Amino acid sequence: MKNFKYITLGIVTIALTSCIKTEFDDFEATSSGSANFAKFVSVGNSLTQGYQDNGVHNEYGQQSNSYPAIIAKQMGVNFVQPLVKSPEGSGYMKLISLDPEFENVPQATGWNNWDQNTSYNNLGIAGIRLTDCVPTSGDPLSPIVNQVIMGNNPYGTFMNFGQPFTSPPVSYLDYIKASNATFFTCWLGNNDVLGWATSGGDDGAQTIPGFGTIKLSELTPVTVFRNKYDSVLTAFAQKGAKGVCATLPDVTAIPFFTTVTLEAIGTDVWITEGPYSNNPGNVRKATNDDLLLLSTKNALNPTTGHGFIQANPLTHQEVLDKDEVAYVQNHTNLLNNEIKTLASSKGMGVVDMYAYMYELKAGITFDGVAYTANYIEGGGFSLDGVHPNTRGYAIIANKFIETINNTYGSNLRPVPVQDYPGIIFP
Amino acid sequence: MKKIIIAAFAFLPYVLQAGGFQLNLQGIKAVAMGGAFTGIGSDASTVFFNPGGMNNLNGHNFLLGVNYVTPSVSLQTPETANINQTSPNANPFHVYYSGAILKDKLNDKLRVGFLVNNQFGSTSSFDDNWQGRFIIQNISLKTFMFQPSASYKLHDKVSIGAGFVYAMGAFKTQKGVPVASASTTEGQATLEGSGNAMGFNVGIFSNLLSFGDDTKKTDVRLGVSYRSELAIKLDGGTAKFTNIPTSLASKFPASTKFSGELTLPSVFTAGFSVKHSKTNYSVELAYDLNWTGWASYDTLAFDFENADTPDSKTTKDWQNALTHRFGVDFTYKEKYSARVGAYYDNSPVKDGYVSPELPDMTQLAYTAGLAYKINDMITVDLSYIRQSAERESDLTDAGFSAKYRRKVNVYGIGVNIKLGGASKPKVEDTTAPSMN
Repeated sequence: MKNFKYITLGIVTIALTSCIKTEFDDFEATSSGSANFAKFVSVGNSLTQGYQDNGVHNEYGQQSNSYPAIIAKQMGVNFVQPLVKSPEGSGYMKLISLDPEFENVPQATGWNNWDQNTSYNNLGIAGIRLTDCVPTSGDPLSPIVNQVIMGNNPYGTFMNFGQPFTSPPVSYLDYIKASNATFFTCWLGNNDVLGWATSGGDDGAQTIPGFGTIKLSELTPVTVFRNKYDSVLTAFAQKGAKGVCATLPDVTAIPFFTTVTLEAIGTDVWITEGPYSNNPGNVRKATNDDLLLLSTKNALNPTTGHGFIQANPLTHQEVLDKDEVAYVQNHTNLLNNEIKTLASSKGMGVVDMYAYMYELKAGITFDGVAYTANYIEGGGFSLDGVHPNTRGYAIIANKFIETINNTYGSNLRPVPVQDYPGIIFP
Repeated sequence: MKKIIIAAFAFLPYVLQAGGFQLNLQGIKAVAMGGAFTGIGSDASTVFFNPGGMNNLNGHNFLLGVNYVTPSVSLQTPETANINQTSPNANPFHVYYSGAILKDKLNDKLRVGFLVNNQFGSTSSFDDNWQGRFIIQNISLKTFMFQPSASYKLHDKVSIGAGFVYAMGAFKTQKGVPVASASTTEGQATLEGSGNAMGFNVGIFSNLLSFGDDTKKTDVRLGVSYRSELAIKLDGGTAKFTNIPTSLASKFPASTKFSGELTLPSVFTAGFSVKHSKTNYSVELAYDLNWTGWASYDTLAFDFENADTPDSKTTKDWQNALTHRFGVDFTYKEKYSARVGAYYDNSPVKDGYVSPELPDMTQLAYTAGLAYKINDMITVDLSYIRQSAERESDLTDAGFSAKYRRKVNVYGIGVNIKLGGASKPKVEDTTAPSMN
């Protein structure tokens, strides 16, 4: 009978504590669904490498939290990145007042002194175009041109493209083939439109004596883009890898083109129309449909009158005029159609970053923090006005995760965006 | 070029939830019977439930009660498997008095009463670094109501009562501010304010039917009451911002004033009771229907004195809510009572407006209680409420979505003290003196 007392007491205790228990169980273990995350490889450009504030830097874990690294962490897989050798990395711009004013933090010597024998999972290289990654069929000079361009890119020194004219060219595509990826993300193609737009609609033609002309910032033609994008996806598919591709956002929606407005300047601005405009060389007053580049803010000069008087208009490279805006928007749509068609023909998922960019522009709130596509105050873009900050990359990672889950039936969890650093204020 | 404006952060208005902030812990017998008391009027808590019921009580009746509230709330977001609220337990109390101090002069038609209680109030808190820290970290609201009242017997079967309500409210909340510098990871806003309001409480009570004799008797009673809304003005509240980057100090200053208004809703109640008494025992059934006017004012918005600080916007999309309350009392030999009850509380919060500090849910809650009449002067009441509910919803404005589980146990104890008036009872009742 004595025991009965204790048994009763025990039952009562259990009953009372279970009465108040509200805790949720842990999430189910990560499942990759019909995909295999064992070797996850990301290909892309600056966005994939974790570039922000005009550089690759890591003093608050910016590069460590590139969007593919965030995805890999949610997958629970190993993910090797070519991390900058010191926090300052390639150098970057730092906000020192809300005017806004900036300070350029210089790069550290040896910041990109990467081991070329390591097998990296993040193959993102800032600045690369899709067209630089794959030799153009029928163009015998293309492999060498690519080799020169890729070999001179300071962000790509973790790959060995061979010495021009001494060793045979190795292409970015060769690295994709050698990656043995079981799963990939591909966000290539942004620079195939961006460079043209940030040069104010200029092809960036460079004449190399005895060699010919290279257009460093031309819009990659649609057929070239189609063939090269197909080569990249085929390289993955041939090894049995599954993956997702991302479309290209409308570059004219990013702060680099939306911050220096006539309203912000407060007076008339004179511009020169570019070679892709209806009246090349025409000088006229800017309208709200002409987009002044973020870098043009410092080119406007009340003393010399540059940009303020008809006799000293902004050059065509300092403004993306309304014809050029329409031209690049149309070209972006054409390239996105290629990305969507090719990805779906191979059963790969598509992350529609083009559509998502407009959602961000309209305003999105996560856990009580609001984001827009506005410069600095919008919270998601870094100080260069082109690239996201770490919170922006976390938003992008969540969008990739959503598409991966929808395509392959995996159960990757999104991340809380606000747990990543945003703008660092003075 | 214009300066950068940081608009990415705004204060969302706080929402005062029915299930959370309205305590409904008045009178221990009433609590045990699901909160259905408007048509009973058998103890001094009728000052609150229905001032018109005071004419049922003779002598000087005091009721002192306290409840011990133990909430447990957990959340699951798409990102985090489990988050527990860290809210402390609460102890709302009430003191009621109803008495016949002028009965000789007014032919026993007048009663006076008074109450002091906590009608609304809550504290919710989370770990400071939890996922929703930019929505809420801590919030607490305390209110005290004072209500002098009087009732008058119009007719043998009908009496009316009214009370003047003076309310004091104090409010404090904290949340994160999502701005970082090289030396700070995020800021914090602390808002504190207090104010007062006036309102009223009116009721009509009817001992409608009574049939049978001393050995077998049935009473049917009705009550209707209305408590006005209480608009507590929080003028001169203090907002403090800490860990803010230097360049944003004009936007989020170390200290500024804010004003706001905290409106507690009106409540309209209609109820009835049926009591069947025999020589040895009695059984009493009661039902109340509450209509709570949440739709008129539903949020707590802030207007900051510092012009650069973003004011909070108001989202008014609440609905008025009905609550059904039902209870049974069984009393043996007018000495031992056992009570059970239940209430069905419709949430006024639509999907898309559920916030993590007080996730309101439509729920069926159960109540129970015991009473022991020690002597003609003292009766002790015990009560218990069990709430358990789940809900999954967004707080759309904040871009926050979660599954919620909420369980609350409430333990109550009350003491009824009766002085005088034992010789000539007008109405037989469990707590009133015996007819025999």
